[in-house]
Amino acid sequence: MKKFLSLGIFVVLLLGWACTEEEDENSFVVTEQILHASGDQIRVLGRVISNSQIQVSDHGFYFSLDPSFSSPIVVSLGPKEGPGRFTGLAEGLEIHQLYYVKSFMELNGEILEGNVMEVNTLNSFIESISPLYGEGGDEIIISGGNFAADTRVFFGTQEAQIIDITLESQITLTVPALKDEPSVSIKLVTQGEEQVFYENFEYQIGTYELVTTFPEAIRLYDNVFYQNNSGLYIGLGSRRRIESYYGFQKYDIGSDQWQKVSFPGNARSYSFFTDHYIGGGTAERGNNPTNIDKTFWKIDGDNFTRLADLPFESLESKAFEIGEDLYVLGTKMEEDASFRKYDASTGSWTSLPAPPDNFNAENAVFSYGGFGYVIGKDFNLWRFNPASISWDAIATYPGSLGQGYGMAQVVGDKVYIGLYRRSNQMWELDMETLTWKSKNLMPGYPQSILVGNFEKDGLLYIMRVPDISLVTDYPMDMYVFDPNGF
Amino acid sequence: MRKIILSLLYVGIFLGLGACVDPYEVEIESGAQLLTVDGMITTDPGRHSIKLTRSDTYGSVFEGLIRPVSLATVLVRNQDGVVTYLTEDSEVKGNYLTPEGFAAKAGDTYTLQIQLQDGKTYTSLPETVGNPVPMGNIDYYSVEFPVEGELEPESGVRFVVDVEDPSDENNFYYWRTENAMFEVNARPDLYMDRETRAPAPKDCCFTCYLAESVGNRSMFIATDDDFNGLSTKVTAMFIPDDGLRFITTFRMDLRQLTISASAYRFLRLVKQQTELSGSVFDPPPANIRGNMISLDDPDEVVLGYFMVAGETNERMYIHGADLDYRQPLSLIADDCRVVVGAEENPPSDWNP
Repeated sequence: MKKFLSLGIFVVLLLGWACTEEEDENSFVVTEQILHASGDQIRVLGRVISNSQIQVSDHGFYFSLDPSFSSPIVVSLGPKEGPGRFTGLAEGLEIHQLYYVKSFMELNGEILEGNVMEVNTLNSFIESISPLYGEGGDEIIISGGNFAADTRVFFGTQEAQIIDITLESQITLTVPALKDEPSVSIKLVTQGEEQVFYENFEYQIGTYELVTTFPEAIRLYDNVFYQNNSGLYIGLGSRRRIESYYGFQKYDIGSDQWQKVSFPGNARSYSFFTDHYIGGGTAERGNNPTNIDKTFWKIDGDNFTRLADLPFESLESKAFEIGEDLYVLGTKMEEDASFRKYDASTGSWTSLPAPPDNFNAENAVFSYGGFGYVIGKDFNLWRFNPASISWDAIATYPGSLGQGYGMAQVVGDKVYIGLYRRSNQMWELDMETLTWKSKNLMPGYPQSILVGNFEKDGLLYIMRVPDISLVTDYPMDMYVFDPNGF
Repeated sequence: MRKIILSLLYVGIFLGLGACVDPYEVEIESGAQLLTVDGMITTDPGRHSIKLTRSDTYGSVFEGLIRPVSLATVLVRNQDGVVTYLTEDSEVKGNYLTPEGFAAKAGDTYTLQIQLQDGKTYTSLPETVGNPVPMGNIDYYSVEFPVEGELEPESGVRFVVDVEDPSDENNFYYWRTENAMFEVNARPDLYMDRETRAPAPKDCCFTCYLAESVGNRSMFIATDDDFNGLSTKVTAMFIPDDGLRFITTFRMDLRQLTISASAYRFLRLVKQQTELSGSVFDPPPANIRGNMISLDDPDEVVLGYFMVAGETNERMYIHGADLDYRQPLSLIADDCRVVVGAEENPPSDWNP
């Protein structure tokens, strides 16, 4: 009996299994998510969902401007094995348009379509351009977003060569050569739509022309220079740092003539000077310890008036004038920073609180609008307020400080700063906006040292001499620099 | 004699069997080196970081090293196409930082895009920044946990936040700490020479300041499904007491982050998996999918999650004397500067 019962249960079980129906294959495709939309690109995520390991002969996405997908852009990704995610990228789309997107797959000769999603392509925009100055052939980067592959960039009327568009957000391009205007607008053109950046690109300009050569076949170092209505004066200092140079040579721009001017004081190197004063420096060459000349002179045309001796030892100090007052920064005879003021009306010297750094002849210095300015070794442009006797860092010098001893020449509201030792860079600082522009490099040896810089009728007159380490004889050429020439 | 021979025979058999024992070498299949993304941007201005690493085989410390992924191009992009590039930290390889002062904007949608040095590109699914929810009052109190076989219970400080949940949206909360720091209290006057064991008191230093990373190993998350639009108290952090932290003053910033629903789901799953105790009631181990996708191979497994969050935070100073229970004092009988990382002077923003 038990055997029959067991047999019966076994048969019932077999029948039960036999009645189990095969589950139908169930496969479909979905458009899951818009991953990314930009100017002319849309990237979409889709998924093949199936309860079996299906073989899809093709899959991908349809992109269309009309919801009926009458003539869609097809992004075909080819065969796919089994269910899973897939991504598709449509490129070359129209900017700021509404697109309809749906996924598809071809299974067993039948096209299955996913749900429809809507997505807008975007407008391109410029955030920044760096740098906004330079010369033809330079590479610059336009940062922004949604840059389409067919974007064109124009500098004024000239088209720039685009090197690369990175992740639709950075355009690297080559600046076209300067044509008519040194300041040009930058225009992006995408699919016929234009946008202009709010700031112009400034071509690096400035011309240098050789005007004269120092009348003596010498190389002058650690000298003094100044100017007045009579001409440009260069003198004192030393020949090749071996023997002192006596007096000055005066250059008259109008007649293009040089004239020797004698100096009643001792020859000296490393003095401080302005257009109205000369003071300090080494009395003789070759002494150790340094013998300082403490005499102090007022300049009046070709004449010099000796004033009361300096109350301190000055070596490589730097001077500037604000109104009638003379300010003297530092001295290499002292370790700490120092700052002194000479009151011309009383003929007295006052020690002022130390500046933020040990400024001296190595720093480029100028005065403008009743303030003194110093380019610090930290690249900061420090402004000295004589009323409050305070210093503020107001800008940062973008150029090279070389080995120090640069120039700063004020021309109207612009200041030309640069030509530090072993640097040919020249920068223009707009004192109203505190913006910097790079000017063309000064010709000549990069290992040059400044001998003198002057300003006349908006032009700069600059003389440099090769560094003492260059042994060959070189003439001391004076160039006229037109900051706006090109 | 026979007994001796039998004994020798047994010993011989045992020795013979012993010689046959081969150590069992566990062959662990080498794990795939998967790209792992761990990072978040929030509405709080600052430098937000995205860490990129490669996973490795789990095992002993020599089995596989988690290596940073360096020299990648990493950027976040919002729905308008505004791109922010992240730069690699010069000190911590594989750690990419947003520019100083970067802040995500509530309501904006961001994607993280990564291009590796080998050209492979990855993107996150779009994540939308939730509105920051202001933090209410924060209470803290000490809690004790009896430990079997130990006289002293383990303890720590639990932080409970009053959440004023907005009613017009479904919110998901995540709490983290940062800038944790505490006063290290030492007794240099009790110092003894290590060789002679003779007292050799030092003049300095009794108090130092030690920054640490603590509190983020456990996950504190919540959803407002049960308290939408209501005010409620939620445990937002627990800092274990190690006998040093709460002697005098402990400081931390408590960050309340409003994250997306999918980020919450990811964290909840991670929390479940990390808190498995081996009980029959544990959820089964599962593969947790993040929100990063390889654009070259969508089937490639990328670990981690790129999160965006609305953030509110509050700096807290916890005074040990205010706690009901503290671990017995861990005495440092030396200059406090011997503690690795301890600084003699407090940071400029230390203001208990």
